[in-house]
Amino acid sequence: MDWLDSIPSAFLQKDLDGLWARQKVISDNMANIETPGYKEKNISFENQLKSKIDSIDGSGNVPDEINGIEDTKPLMTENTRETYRADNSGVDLEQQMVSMARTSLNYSYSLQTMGDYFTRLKAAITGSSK
Amino acid sequence: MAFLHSLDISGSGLTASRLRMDLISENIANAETTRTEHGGPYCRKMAVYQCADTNGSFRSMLDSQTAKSSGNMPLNGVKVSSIEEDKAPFPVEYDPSNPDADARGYVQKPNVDLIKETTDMMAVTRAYNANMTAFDSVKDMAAKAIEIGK
Repeated sequence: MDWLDSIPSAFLQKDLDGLWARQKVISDNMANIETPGYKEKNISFENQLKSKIDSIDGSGNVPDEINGIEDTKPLMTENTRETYRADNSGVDLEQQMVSMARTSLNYSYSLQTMGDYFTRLKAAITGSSK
Repeated sequence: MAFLHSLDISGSGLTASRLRMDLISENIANAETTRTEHGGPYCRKMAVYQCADTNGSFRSMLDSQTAKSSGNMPLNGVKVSSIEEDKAPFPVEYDPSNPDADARGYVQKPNVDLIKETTDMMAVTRAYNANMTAFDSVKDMAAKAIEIGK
């Protein structure tokens, strides 16, 4: 185990990966907004991470927990039910815009948390927060 | 490059919108053209959009199916698969003085509907803007990710 690896940083890393994947899917949905028959794609990863968080109670050893976190994968689903146009296209532009703004903010938030984590680590190494 | 592949996806949307806009411009420019290389009036052109995930080949189908189960996503945005001609009949107009009029004095006009082209143009503009917003968003996220640990 690398000494920099820890459970919080593994979670943050997975969170950032998942959000990035979601942004990518949103880009794809938007690129295909005029494609007949295209169906909106979604990414879900929060639930997998949440169940990992719930399962960690401090009794297991850290490298195994980290490996467990790293094994979670974002899941891509296709929303085949909704149809918004006569040509069978299923992309809701407004909803995608909202989702995009949310993903982008969430990403910044997680990056900030990651930055803070490294700042604390730096403080522990140097003995000062500067 | 895998990291900034999202930008390519938005880029494909921008390219497709641009091409569609070009076709609309051409349609409008030729709204009164009664003589073309192939004879007959100008025929309205349309772009056919296709999701670029799979192009129907065995390889791409296999990739998309195996990728779905392993969590990797073959997202490639959109592409214009072909440019088709509108099959709508040409409207005829009685104008015996027109050099392209037939023996009875009727002229075949292009099947371009200016109102249809204008609404299409608005839809394309909207799609272009949406892709641009997605592009900017990904760019901002990537720029922030570089700042990690600073």
